[in-house]
Amino acid sequence: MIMAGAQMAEGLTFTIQPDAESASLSLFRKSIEDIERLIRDVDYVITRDKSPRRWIISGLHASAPTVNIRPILGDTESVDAIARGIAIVTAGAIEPPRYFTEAALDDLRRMNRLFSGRDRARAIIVSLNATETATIREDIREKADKILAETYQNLGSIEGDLEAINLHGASTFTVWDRVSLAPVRCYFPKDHKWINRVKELLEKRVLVQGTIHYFRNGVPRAITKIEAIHDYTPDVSLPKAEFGSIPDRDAAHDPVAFLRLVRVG
Amino acid sequence: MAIPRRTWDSSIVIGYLAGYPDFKTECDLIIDSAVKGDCEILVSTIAEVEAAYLVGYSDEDSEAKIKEFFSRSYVVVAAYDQPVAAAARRLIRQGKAQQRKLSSHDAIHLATCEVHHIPILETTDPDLLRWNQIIGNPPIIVRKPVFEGQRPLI
Repeated sequence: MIMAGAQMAEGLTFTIQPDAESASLSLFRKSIEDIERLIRDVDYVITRDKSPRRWIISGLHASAPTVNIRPILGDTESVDAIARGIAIVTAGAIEPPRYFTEAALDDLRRMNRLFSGRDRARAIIVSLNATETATIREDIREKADKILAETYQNLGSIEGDLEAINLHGASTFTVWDRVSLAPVRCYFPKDHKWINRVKELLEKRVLVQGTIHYFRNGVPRAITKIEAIHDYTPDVSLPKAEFGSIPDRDAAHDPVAFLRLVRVG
Repeated sequence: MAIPRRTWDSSIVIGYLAGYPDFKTECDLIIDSAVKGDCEILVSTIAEVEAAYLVGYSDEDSEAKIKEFFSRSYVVVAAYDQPVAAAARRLIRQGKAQQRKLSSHDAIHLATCEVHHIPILETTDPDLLRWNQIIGNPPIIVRKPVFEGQRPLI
């Protein structure tokens, strides 16, 4: 559906401002590819849906190449998160916006390619419901890197559902961390033993041990040097821990006094 | 839509499992609502460790029940990791400066809430209750366990 600029209101709008007088087809294609990748990565965190058919073009305006998009179901959470997230990154934040994973920040870094070469863009204007919210410029790589400069890493573990195995390039799978609700990219050795083990655990609750990398705000972003992966599916045969089912006279009388006593040994 | 979360410190977990009578009604109602998917209970890994001090019927029985409790779909165990440790350190220093008592264990529970943006910490520890609405943005509510939903008629 092609619409006039004045009719573009709802949803996200990206206006590609070419450095030259007019935008080349190549710049338009690359811009759309990069925008689509970013939208899919942020939308996946919110909806856990990677379907390419979730988003539709609701307007396309040609004088300054402008594409207006929205989710097919009309849900606004992803639209708001993407617009707000791009605004936060382009403003020079040091913490990741909500729902922006390592993959989404990598997508923004890669957009830097749109600002070099003969057919380069000068800026990409992002608008939410017809109001301009951010401008992506050639410094987008530095802006994303500022957030990606990690502050924490430690040996530890992440528990959650295992999804999305990727064997192209570096082998990875995703674990949906139960605490932060964020998808955490886990890098594992590309050998048959590991590949089979990861495939066995697909869609199961697992605990992954290794080196955990965190964003500055404490949200885990990746696991490297994986040491072990365990099936953490709850065991339904265990006896139920009801109220008072582990009787202890002292703890039942005063749990705080009990704790103070055990803490001093 | 994210499910509302609350944190239980070690005193609530231990009191619940051991049968501290004051908790029964509220904790059972909270757990019933969690079973229905209306809330989740976040606990620090240190509560999982401290539950081992409970006497119980036998070590084997206690261990199986502790494992069952912490593996429930609505119980989310948050690690005592570097981001939590850094936040706990800061809180201890803040407590010292304000002459507000905070043990390292209590600092870990409070820091777990702060790092993971959990708005409510439930405890029965008077030292920790004094931290009600002191830290966090919005300020973390520190209180005794309270069920806020519709109570059954009988």
